[in-house]
Amino acid sequence: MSLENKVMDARTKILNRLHQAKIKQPLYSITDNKDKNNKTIDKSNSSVITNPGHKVKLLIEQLEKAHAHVVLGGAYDCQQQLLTFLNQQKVNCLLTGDPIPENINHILTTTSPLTAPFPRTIKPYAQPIEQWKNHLFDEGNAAITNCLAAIADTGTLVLLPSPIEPRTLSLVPPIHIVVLYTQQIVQSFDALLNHTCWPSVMPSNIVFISGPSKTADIQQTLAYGAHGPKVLAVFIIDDTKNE
Amino acid sequence: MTTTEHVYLYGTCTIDLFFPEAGIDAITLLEQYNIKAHFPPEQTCCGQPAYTSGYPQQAQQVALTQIAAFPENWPIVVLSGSCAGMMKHHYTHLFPDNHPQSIQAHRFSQRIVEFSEFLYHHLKITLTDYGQPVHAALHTACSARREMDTLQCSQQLLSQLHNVSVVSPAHEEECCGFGGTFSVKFTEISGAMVNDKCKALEATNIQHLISTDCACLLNINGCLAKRQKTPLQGEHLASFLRQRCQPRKP
Amino acid sequence: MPSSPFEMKASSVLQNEELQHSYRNAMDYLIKRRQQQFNDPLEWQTLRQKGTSIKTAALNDLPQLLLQLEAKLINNGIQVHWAETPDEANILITRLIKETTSSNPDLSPAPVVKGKTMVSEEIHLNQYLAQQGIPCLETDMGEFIVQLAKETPSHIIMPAIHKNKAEIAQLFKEHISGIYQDDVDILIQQARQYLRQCFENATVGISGVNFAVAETGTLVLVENEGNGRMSTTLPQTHIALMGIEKVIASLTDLPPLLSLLTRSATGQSITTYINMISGPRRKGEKDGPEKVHVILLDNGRSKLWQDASLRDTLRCIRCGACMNHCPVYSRVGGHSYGTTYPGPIGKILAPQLETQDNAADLPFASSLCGACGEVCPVNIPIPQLLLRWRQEATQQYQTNHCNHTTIPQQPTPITGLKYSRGQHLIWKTWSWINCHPKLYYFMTYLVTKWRILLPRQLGGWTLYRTPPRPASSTLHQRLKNK
Repeated sequence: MSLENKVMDARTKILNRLHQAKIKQPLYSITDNKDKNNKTIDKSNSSVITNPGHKVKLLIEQLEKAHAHVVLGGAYDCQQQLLTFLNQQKVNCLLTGDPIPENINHILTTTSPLTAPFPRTIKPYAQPIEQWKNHLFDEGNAAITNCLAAIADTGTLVLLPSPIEPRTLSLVPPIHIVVLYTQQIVQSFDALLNHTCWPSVMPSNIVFISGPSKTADIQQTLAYGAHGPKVLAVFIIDDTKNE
Repeated sequence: MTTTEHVYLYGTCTIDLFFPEAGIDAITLLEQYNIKAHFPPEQTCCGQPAYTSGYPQQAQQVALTQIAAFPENWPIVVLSGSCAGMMKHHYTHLFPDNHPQSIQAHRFSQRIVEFSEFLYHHLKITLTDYGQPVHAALHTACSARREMDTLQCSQQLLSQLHNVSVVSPAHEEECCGFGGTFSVKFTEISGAMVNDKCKALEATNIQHLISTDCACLLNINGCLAKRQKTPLQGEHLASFLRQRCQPRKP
Repeated sequence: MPSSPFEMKASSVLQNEELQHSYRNAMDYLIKRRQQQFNDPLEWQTLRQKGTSIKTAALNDLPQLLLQLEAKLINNGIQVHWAETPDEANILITRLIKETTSSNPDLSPAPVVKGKTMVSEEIHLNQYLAQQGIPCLETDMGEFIVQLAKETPSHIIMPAIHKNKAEIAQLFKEHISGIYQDDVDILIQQARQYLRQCFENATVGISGVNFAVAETGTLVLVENEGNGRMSTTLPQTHIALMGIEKVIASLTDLPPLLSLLTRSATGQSITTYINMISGPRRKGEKDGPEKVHVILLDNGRSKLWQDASLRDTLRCIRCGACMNHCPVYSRVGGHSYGTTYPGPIGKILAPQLETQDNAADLPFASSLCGACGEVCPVNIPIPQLLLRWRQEATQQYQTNHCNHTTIPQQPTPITGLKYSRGQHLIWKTWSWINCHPKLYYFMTYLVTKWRILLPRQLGGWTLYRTPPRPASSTLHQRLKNK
């Protein structure tokens, strides 16, 4: 029997077995997971409306607990702090999306009263990864991306890789910098779903990032930078503040 | 004048053979609260050893004997969390809906109440402590903790004794390693578990070890005695309460 | 004397003080972390019931959901394959790997990179690929360590939990750096550098799947390290291997299940990364795999599914909480079981999935303390299922024990469980005595009267305890004489 026939056979056999028994197990009656208005005491599914200030505070609290570096401020303040951060981390080569997103370009190119030696070069992710591995793995010390949203409940950034900001931009360089605006912060995953066109149209990839890479596999001792970025820096621009 | 309430007492085969004083103490204690505890002599084993060894047919036969031994519609006060768990929760597995005795078994199960639960929830007793200050630990059988949910009953009863300071040994919630035939089939693993339990008890400064389950005590007491690091031997809650709450003769 | 493979392995672990210490510390750490997450009993019960309902509903609709998942995955550009047995899965994966490597003859052969997947352990994928001359490199830190040591994982979440820092430092010295040093941060950086080169050059990445969403054709993978993202993003081919029970209905089912999983497993409210894959690289995108394959593996699951009570086992979300709280696992360690999945969940899966002789022992190697069932986030009645397997072994499992089925259940064919005539006789005798109160009274009377004659050595019992001493008279006797 050819492999294709054997594999087809596997599908038929498995499904036949599953179609034979028509047992329905009873469900618990306490919750109906399709009912989004159901106010259960569920930390992961909080539909309680909280004020925006509380959401920001919670997000920062959660991110800092996970060892992320977080800055909150107006646009100018965040920009200054970002440049300071890049200097402190001695970021030689900063990778960005291509074309560089307008807001990130603005942050990086606006002159500052302080002379900033870092970053020395800025490289937009201009080619498919097959031609760009050298920049990604060897040259890039840090990468800066936008994000789609942030979830306050769990301290999570939601990234939507795209042709402009590919998946590996937020994964390979040892430092990942994220630019976020306070209006992008939602309370929970369910709240996030309400703001997107999911599930009807799904992007090829969505990544939820809740801190720098870590592991406790060696004698339960926590260590950062296992494979993903060792440093996650989040700059939250409070766009309600006036400059 | 307070009317006398009638209950049955289920002694358990472990108490029958190894801790009969616990049965006497329970009956005496209940009498002080106007409870007449009847002990039908036709009672034997609840069936749990066979059931947990994978012999439900034999367990079912023995269960029928227990059901027949308690004919009056009185509460059945059980001196063990694990036997109570067997009769309250597992008899329904032994007698499914289409079994001729299923209704009887179900009614029997509903009458089962563990001893500390009876004292705390049903009698709502108030205890007066006549004893000297002591430190004690409470060992709860796994089924008392997880199946019967009666841990808090024993805890609340002990908390009424103002001269008894209850201490929590390390890994208090962990099994002592008895598990019926488990301790006989997997002796080394069971031995490791009971030794750890004893180590934790030895590390406290307790003078008393109390339990609502004498099967666990058979296990722990035997290991404590073997280790010879402490003279501590556990006793049933009924014995401890009777001793503490008995006014001293002048 | 320990006799079975399980007992023998368990015995050697029990006598190893260092291992006992490692395991105790590790379990205490995980127990505490979980307790900190679930310190509100009402919140725990509510969330648990929600998660249980979601999984139960998904399993009730398993065939339809699998078909929906298949259709959506294909629509998203993901190729779907079905495998009934480990052999079929291994053959398929080998073919897919060879298709990728043969289409790039210019590229130097790089090992296949693998994210953490217990299903791949189930089918012994690494060994199979090695036999085909295809090196497969584990990239999860714990799995990487265990692979260097030529061992199997001893825990489903923390594979190297049985190894201490010194042992790992020694392994790294031998295989990576040539120098012994045991600073954990430096060890992690060494592994990071070593594996980074492999990620950069790999052409095939293999992963598991935590949840597969039928509604959207999405594979959901959770992790803390980033190796999963590396393995599923950098290589041009991504092969995802999943058990058929991993399918869930909708995207909105994810938050409660993810919350239960991460909090039960490692005491985290969320893992560092959650990766949702709904397709290969799309037009215009600069990275991502060109091909994504999903292999839907059966390996006994559909048989488990057919049985109303054994089906509960398929709710398992592989959090490991049961083994963290198991007094047996925490002493004998994962390797003693000799099964892919150790601990309580392993004991109830083994008779169905495994063929070793020690599957016979495993359902009995439990005191039925119930700690596992108490912490299971999806309410698998593990102690009840252990009893079920015990009754299968004694051939006494009866069809009418399942109260919520309307069709008769055949005893599930199981491997390794043995019937013992001697045991059966013992329990028949025991039952006879206990069904005859006068005989019981007489026997117990004799025991008390002849207690001095009882042997001082009582097998394994008296290795650790003084012999139990019957009272001078039974409670029955004392009350009779009153």
